[in-house]
This record gives sequence, C-alpha cells and structure tokens, in this order.
Amino acid sequence: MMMRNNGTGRSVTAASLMVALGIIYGDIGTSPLYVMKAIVGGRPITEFLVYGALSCVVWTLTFQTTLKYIYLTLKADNHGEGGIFSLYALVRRYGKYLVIPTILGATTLLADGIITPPISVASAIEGLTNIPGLEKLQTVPIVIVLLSALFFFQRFGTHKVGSTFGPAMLIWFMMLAVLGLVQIALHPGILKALNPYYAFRLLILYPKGFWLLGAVFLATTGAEALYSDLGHCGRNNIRISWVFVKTALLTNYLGQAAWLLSLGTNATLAGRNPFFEIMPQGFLLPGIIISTIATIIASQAMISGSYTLINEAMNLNFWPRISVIQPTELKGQIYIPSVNTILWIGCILMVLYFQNSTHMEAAYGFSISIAMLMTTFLLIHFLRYQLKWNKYLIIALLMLFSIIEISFFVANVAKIKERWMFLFFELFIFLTMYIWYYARKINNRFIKFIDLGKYASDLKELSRDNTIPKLSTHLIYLTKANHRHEIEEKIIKSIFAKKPKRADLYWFVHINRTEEPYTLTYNVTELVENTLIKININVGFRIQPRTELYFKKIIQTLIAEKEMNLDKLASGLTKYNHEPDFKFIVIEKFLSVENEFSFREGILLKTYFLLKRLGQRDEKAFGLDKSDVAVEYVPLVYQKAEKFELVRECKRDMP
Amino acid sequence: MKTDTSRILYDRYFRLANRNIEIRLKNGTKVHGIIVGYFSSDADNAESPIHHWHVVDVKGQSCWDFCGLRFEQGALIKHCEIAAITFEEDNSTLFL
Repeated sequence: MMMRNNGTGRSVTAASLMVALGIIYGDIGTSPLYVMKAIVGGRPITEFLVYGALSCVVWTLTFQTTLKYIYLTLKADNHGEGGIFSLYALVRRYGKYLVIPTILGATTLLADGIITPPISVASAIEGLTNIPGLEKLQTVPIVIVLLSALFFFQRFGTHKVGSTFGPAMLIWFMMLAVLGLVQIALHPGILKALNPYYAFRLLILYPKGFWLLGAVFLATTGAEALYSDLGHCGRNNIRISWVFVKTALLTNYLGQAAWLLSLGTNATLAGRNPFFEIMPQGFLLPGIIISTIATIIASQAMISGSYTLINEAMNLNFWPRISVIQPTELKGQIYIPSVNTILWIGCILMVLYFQNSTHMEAAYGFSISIAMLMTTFLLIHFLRYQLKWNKYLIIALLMLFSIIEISFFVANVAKIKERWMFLFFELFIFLTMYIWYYARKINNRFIKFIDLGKYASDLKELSRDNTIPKLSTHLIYLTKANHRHEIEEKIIKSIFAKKPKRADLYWFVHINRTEEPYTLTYNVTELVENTLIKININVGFRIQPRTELYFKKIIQTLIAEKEMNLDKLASGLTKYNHEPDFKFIVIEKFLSVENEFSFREGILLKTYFLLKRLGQRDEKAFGLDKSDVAVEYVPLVYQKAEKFELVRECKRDMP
Repeated sequence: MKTDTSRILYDRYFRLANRNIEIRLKNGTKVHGIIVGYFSSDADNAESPIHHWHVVDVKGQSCWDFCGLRFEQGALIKHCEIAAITFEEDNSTLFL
C-alpha cells in the first residue's frame, strides 16, 4: 500500500497553473484592496510619499515574496509539501531548539489568519459605498452574513466549487492588470517609482517614514500562506504563475499610485479607497462582485490552511487530538469542526470589534512578521544542513532577511495596541502546543521497553492454556516499540498481570509517523509462530490514522495470500456470529498519586492530562471502532515519592 | 554532533547470544546480570538516547522483573553513570 504526493515534480500545464491561481494567491492577490489605502491613510498626498511607498511595495514583493518565498523557501519542500511544520520535519534533527521557532511560527500564523477573511471581505464589500445612493450602507451585517455562510459550508468540502476558483482568480488578476494599465498610460511617470532609491528616501527622510513599513508589509502577508499551500500545486506551477501574478499586482499598485498623484499635491484620501477609485463608474458593481468573489476564495484558502496546520500539529505531537473529518474523497481535504467554530467566532468578533477594514489594517501583520522571522530561522538550517550551501552565502542571506523582517517586525509592534486581544489567543495556542509537546516528551521518557524474547514462551503457553477462559481470538495492542524484539512493559503486564488475557493470536501494531507527508506502507513479522505477530504501519504526518481499517485490510491480505497459517487458526466465526473476533486493547495513562514533581514538570504534566481529557479519546484518535476496544488505565509514575521513612511500631505477635 | 553511546551499547547488546554482562559504574560499583529493559528519552523516536537501563541479576530470579506490587526487582542504572561494560560472550569490554 503506498500513496505518494509528488508535488515538486508536477508537470506544468494550463490546468495546473489555473489550480495554482485559485489556491495559492488568494491572500497575497487580494492585498491591493487595502495596501495603498493603508499606507497613505490620512496623510497629505505628495510625490515623496507616493513614489516612496510604491517603491517600498515593489521591493518588498521582490525581496520578501519573490526571493525569499518563491525562490528560496519553495526549495524546502517535504516530498511536495510546504508550510512551517513540513519545514520543521525537514530540519528537526539539527537541533532540539528548533521546536520553539516552529511553535511560535505556527501560533502567529494561525492568529493573524483570523483577520485575513474579515479584512479581505470587508475591503471588498466597503466598495459598495462608492456606488451613488449606497454611501451610507451598513457593511458590517453583509460581511458577517458572507463569512458565516463561508464557515457553514466548510463541512461539505470545496470539491464542487473548487474548479471555479482558478478561472475566478484569473479574471481577478486580469482586472487588476487592466485597471492598473489604464492609470499608468495616463501617468507613465509613475514608473520612476521602480527605482529603490525612492523607498530608501521615504524610510530615512519622510517624517516617521520607517513606521509606514507596518502598512507596506500588508503587501506581502500572503507569502507565508503561499508556502503552506505548496503541496496543492507544486513548485514549478507556483513559480511560473507568480510571474503573471506579480505583474498583475505591480501593475495595479502602479495604477493606484498614478491615480493618487493625479489628485494633486497635498490632497487627502478622505475615506476613499484608491483600489475602487481607479475603476470606471460603470464598472464599479461588477468590480465589487469580482473583488468579493476573490476575497471569499482568499478566505477559503486561509480556512483550509488552518485545518492543515492543526492537522499537521496533531500528527507531529504539537496539538491534542481532536476530531478531523474528510468531507470528500479528495486527498488532503479535511474539515476540523472545532477549528472551524473557533475561526468563525474569531472572525465575527473581529468584524464586530473593528467595524471596518481601515481599523483592521491597523492591527493586521504583527503576527505574520513573527511567523516570517521563524520561517527564516528554520530555512537557514535547511539551506545550511540539507542543501549544504556555502556558509558565507547563508550568513549573507540571514543578514539580508533579518534586516528586512526585523524592520517589518519593529514597524508592526506599534499595532499591538490595536490588537492586544490577540495576545490572549496567541498565548493560548502557544501554551497548548508547548505543553502538549514537552509534557508528551516527559511522558515518553517513562515508557519502559523490555526484551520480548523473554516472554515468547510464556505467551505461547498462555495462548494454548485451556484452563484460562479465552478473551478473544485476536488480541491487538498498539505499541510504540520500533524494534521487533522489544515491547512496552505495560503491555506484558496487561497480558499477564492479575487475570491473564488469553487469545489465539496476539498482534502488536506499531504506527510509525513518518516525516514524509503521505506515506502509507506496512510490514508484517511473525515473532512467535501462530502466536505473536507484529505489524509496522508507516503513516505520513498529513494522514489521519485509521488503525482498525488498516489492520483489517492487512488481515484480509494475509488471509487471501495464505500467509502465516492464518487460515488454519480459529477465526472466531461461529454459526451464530459471522464476524471475526477481534479485540483492541488501548492502554491509557493517568497521573499517579505517587508522584513528586518539580514546579515546571508538575504544571506541564497536570495541564497535559487536562488537555488530554478535553481532547479526543485514544481509541477514536487511532480510528478504532468502540465496540472492539477495551481501555485499560495505568498510572504514570514520574517521580516516585521515596524519601519517606515508614516505621513499624511493633512487630505483631505471630501465632 | 555528539556520539550517542547508549545506542552503541543497545546495538551491541541485543546482538549477543549470551547476554550476561558486568557493568562497572563510575563510582567503582560493579553490577552483574542481564538487561531486561530500558527507558529512552523519547519513545516516539527509535533513535533517541537511552537514559536508564534495567539490569536484573539472573541468579535465583525468575524472568519476571517486577513483583505484584509494581516494585521492580534488579537495579535501574543511569546510562551516564556507566564507565564500562564487559560482555561474558567474548570477554570484551566496552568503555563509555
């Protein structure tokens, strides 16, 4: 059994380029809706400001998006998959400390993801107020209804409408380019702004010019999401389609800037959005409809990206297990109800709190600047240790991106006062990931592996001992032991201690989470003839394990191929019962009262077990059918309380 | 990268036919017996270092290395406290 995603090797066709347009560029592609408006704000419009701002946008898209993400970061594909967890899976062997930037990057990406749908949809809908007669239109209810509908329909998947995303975004980008070109033709002098000197001059000489970077940064916020979606399209498709997308974006930014200059020196925007102002009056309504569709597609990409991020976090043991649903048969398409609800509530609260896109712009971007810094940190490890790039080149790249991203981060710090409520949300995500990861590590340190060979004859004897009532024909344990000659001590205790569990056949199933995203392979070893079989199932970190389904499929194959004498064993079938007799034993830990903790370990472990209770149960997480499962509870004795003196008062008189 | 001596010992030990060993600790103490179990630093990772070995003196004991009240028999030895291991099979010594 093997499924592989060969994202990087995907051939470049018109259809695949269209898919890339529909999935990858939603976020970055809808930035022209608000970037120029955010940069200019209420400032007097001057050539100094407009040329400088435009130059900043152009060179940000060149260095940050094209060089860092399109050229460098897309090299870090993990068997075709991208995103911060894929990158972590590639570099984690090079340092334990890489866990922290990974958690921080994922946290901040998720947090700012909550503003992406409201800011995009609100910006588009606010365009309606440009239509004569609709100036006083209340846009908040429309935005809330659109976003709520978007979150409601997530449970049905996007397979039916997904094919329209590409053509819709193609229309969007063509609209951007045409609208921009018209304005450039009217004011060709705007092309001067491509000179980086204007950017430099703005940042150094314009009053408080450096802080404008907080708004300039909005032009590149979608770059991180672009990398996360690598698996959907493949590197080559992204790189080729980016040429078209970047051209369309730059043309539109140039057009908006040209229109700004046409207002004359020291004019102000006075609430107008240059994006809609460059549209001919007769095109306004169709333009707003196209913009709204584009922003819904952008929001969809962000929502799907958040599901993928949490799913990867779960599979890499950064997040408690929660219910994941596959709404369609499409590979990689998942729906996580709890994440959907949190995002929906978060987005609606954002709309209600900020009311309009201008206020959202003032809060957007801070977290993504941290996510980008963290990606740079991990990327440097990838380039150095996996691609073995020259260390001087690596240092040069590190310095270049550190200067750019730290500048953006500092400029964005000013946004904290507008987004303080996000800090709680970010703290919650960060702590959940941190606690889950490190408490699990502590937990794992106390799993004792023993030599299975010592118990082989006892197992065989128990299996044939008719004096003990049979629990099941097939008894299945899930084990973490990678090596075939060993097993967890708790499993041996479960079989032999107190009332021994007799079965005809004992199965030890090991789920090995691989660093490759879509691996699904297995191997079977008969450790004791007709008594003990071990199965290793290799499951990629993007796949939700369905242990029972895999197990039954493997048994079917073994029986069909008459391997290991399975056909000679009692199957458990009787004339009253037509189903094979399987029993899964899941061993769950609880924190023993015998423990004595240090402060940090105590907090970590107690919160871990609390989160575990709130999350999905082990049997469900492993994809086991409840009727075939027995759960046993064993105490986790982390630090035995041994420093006590138990004194016997007097010896009892023996008869 | 630092060499993980615990996995060297692991690989060598589980290839032995005669698993009797003598462990010499850094404080000079000697422990005889067989390794019946171990704890690694991360059970999710098969290559993670082993931090404790469970050693049982085989003479006079059954194969069970725990009693009914969950008190373990034998000794738990920290890997970092081991100075050398002598393997009875070929009388060779592994210095850590």
